[in-house]
Amino acid sequence: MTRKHMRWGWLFVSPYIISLLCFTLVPLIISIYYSFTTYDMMRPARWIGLRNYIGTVTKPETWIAFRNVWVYALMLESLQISLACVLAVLLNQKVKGLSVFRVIYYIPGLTPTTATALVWARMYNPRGGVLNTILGFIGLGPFAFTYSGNWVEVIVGIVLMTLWKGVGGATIYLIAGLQAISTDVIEAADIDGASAVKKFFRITVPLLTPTIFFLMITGISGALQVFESFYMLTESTGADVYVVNSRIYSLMWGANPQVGQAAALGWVSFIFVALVTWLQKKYEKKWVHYDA
Amino acid sequence: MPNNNVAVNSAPAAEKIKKPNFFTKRRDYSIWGLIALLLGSVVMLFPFVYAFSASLVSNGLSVYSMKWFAEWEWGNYARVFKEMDFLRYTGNTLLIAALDIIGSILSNTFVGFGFARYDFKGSQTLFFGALCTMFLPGTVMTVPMFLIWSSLGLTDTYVPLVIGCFFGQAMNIFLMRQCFKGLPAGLYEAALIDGAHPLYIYARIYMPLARPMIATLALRAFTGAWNNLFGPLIYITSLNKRTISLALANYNSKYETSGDTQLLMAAAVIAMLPTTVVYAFTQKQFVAGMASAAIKG
Repeated sequence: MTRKHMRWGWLFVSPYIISLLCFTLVPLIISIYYSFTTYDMMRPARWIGLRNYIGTVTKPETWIAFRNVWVYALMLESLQISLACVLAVLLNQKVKGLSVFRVIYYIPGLTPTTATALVWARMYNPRGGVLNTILGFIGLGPFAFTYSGNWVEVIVGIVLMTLWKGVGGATIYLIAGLQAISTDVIEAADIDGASAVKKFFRITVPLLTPTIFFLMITGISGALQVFESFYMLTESTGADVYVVNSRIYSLMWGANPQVGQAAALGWVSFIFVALVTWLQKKYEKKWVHYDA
Repeated sequence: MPNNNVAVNSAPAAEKIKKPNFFTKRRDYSIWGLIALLLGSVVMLFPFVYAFSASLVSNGLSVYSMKWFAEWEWGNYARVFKEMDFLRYTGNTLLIAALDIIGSILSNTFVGFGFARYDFKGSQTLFFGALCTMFLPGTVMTVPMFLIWSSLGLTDTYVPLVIGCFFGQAMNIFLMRQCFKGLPAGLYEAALIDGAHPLYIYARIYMPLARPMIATLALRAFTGAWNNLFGPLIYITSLNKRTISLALANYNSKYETSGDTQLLMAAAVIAMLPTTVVYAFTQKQFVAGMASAAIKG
């Protein structure tokens, strides 16, 4: 085909060029502009230079929000990826009917966070909630989870619900990764008499590192942008635990909008997400094996 | 991958070989693994069963001390649709979902086809740019988008919620590009020699072949629209325009304090049902499509 004919491609990608301009580039410029102004959506915006950024990084609430979201993201991702690795190996066995399990493990991820949060809040309720009844039965607890005054306990509660929702999705990717591994390696280990645990840590996990890396990159940047589960699970219990996006939400859509501060916090948050993604990419070669 | 979890030494050198029992018998799968999966799936299903059981109690307080499935108060569901106005919210959400599905299929297949079949100048850069937008935090974008939509007077309408779907979204474009790249390129050249227009080739030759991935797009659009809270939360202010998720968020504590917690549970069950049912019928291609695209990179 001629070079000239290839120009048809522009027609096909044109909707996305419009999208990039209208829904990405223009909003980005607007956001940068307002982050240097004070604006309440009533009176005209006034240029105040770097003051929003200085205000953002000096406010203790900002750092509490960052601490919370980091604890949440690291707790969630480490639990989710390690659990998903085990599940993927178990679900990848050749047994008839095993796909029923895949459906069961995946389904919570498709349900709305609002609905699951309503249910989990009732299960967490320290006064008669079903989880504490079970924990009490085996001699643990009571744990207040999202009803607790302790921020770590609240985050643990949110992590557990999110883990329940997300582990199936991560598992699906890892199963696809497992199926790409040649069975020769595993069979060789079988002949050498390697134990199941040894095979898992010495062969399966190293060969899955590209998929694990993919899950880490997308998972951590996703977890750092969490909002809905915190909104739902702290709103109903009155727990004062917030993340970066909850701060942006209350700055922008709270009683008196502070557009400039919301935009500035958004950019500070973006810098962190970008930095983390870049760091992960930089140290990728240290532990990810692509030569399987 | 056969997973021999069971360490049975089959070498005859061992003096006393225990007769293998049910657990130590050599299999090409692990019985302990299956037991673990079974226990795990009990945990996964537990919240659903709890919600269903709690949605059927007659007294809201007894969601905390209930005897499981002792009561079957189906009237709770009728009350959710009538008193909590869920019929309207379901309709609203389905309308948004339908628009999202149509927009998503039209735009993402179109753009994905462009990236897959045409090697025009700048296509690589543009595609890389599309992938980069996936890492832009949503909130950085929603603050200015909200300003734009409110200056256009379009807040409290569904326009801000659905318009993005009509111009292509990075992840879906990526999925469609992978899908079209996987189809034989020779089809294109052959049709071109026969005098077919590129638009015709896209719509009549490649689209029918991409049907499984299009189903994936539709399902993604549906679950996205059905589950979205943040969009409706910031854009929708009229009570009668609320979506299911927004209504649930608003009702979060209201029915708890009024002692009708069982209605909240019934509402949650209603909200969880559609995506679950749709997925149960389409799970094979949905999952296969997503994962294969991710692995092939």
